[in-house]
Amino acid sequence: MPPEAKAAIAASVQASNSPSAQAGDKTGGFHEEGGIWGTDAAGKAVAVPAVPGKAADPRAEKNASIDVYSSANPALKQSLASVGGEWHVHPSGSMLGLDGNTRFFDQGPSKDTDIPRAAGPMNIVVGAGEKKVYFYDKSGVIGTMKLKDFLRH
Amino acid sequence: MRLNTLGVVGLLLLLSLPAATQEGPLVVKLTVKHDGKEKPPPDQVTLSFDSHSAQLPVRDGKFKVPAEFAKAHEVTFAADLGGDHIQITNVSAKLFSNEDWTLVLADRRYGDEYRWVAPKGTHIRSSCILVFESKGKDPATAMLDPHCRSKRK
Repeated sequence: MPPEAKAAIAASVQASNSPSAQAGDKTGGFHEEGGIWGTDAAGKAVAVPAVPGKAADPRAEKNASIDVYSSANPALKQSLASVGGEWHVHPSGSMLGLDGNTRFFDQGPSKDTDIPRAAGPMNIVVGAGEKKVYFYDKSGVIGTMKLKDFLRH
Repeated sequence: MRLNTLGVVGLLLLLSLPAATQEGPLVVKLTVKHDGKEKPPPDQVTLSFDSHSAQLPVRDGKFKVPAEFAKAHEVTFAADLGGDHIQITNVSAKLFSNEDWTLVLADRRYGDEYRWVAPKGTHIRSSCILVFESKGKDPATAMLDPHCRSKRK
C-alpha cells in the first residue's frame, strides 16, 4: 500500500475528528471522511480524498454517509489510471444522554451496507474511536490492524 | 392516450407500494453476542412504553413490532437470557425501522470494537450494548446502557 494512501488515511482520521463547516460538524467526531487511491498514467501513487460526508447523529435511525468517489478535487481523480483501493472513516463521536445511555457509531464495516457494497480492489474502514483499521471484501472482514501499527508500517 | 393512462395508473401503484409495506408490521432480527460468541436469541422479548406492554415471540430470531410501539417515542426493550434479565430503556422507536439488531453482552470486558466507548467505571457485567443496522445505513449506530443487565428473578 503506497505511503501516499496511508498519509491520506491519517489525514482523514484527523479530519473526521475535527470540526468541519463543509460537513456541518461543529465539534468533530460526527462525520465521515474518506477517498480512493491508485496510480496515474506514469505509475505514480495518488490519493484522492473525497468530499466529507454530512454530519451524522448516532441517535438517528438513518445516517449520513460518504461517497468516496465524490472527490474533493475532481482533477486529481481524473489523473488516476487505475484504482488501488478505497477508504472511509467511521466517526468517533458519542453522546451521553440524560438517561445515562451512550449513543455512538459502530466502528467496523457495516454488515448490511459496507460489506455487500465492497467494490474496491482493497476496501478499508477506519474506526476513529476504536483506532482500528478494518480490511474487508464482500465476504466480510478479512483483517484488522491497530491504526498506529498501520500508519507505522 | 390509453397507454398514458395505464402508465399513470402503474406509476400510482408503484408509488403506493412503499406505503403499503410500511403499514405491515416491522420485523426486527435479533442477534445476541455474549463475550464475542453468538448465542441463541431469547424465546420472547417484551416492549413497553407508558401503560402499553407486549410480550412478543421471537421466531427464527425475529420479532414483529406492533404498530403502536413503532409509533411510540421511546420504548423499553426487555428479555430474559439464561440467568440474566435485560432491560434497556429509552430506545427510540424510530430504530424499529432498522431491521437488524444485535445485543452485545460481556461478563468482564467488551471486545476492542466496544471497549473504547464504555465510560470509565462502567460495571461491564451490568451493562449491555444494542447495535442497530439497516441496509443503506453506514455506519451502524449503537447504544450502551450501563444498567440494563441483572440477575433473573
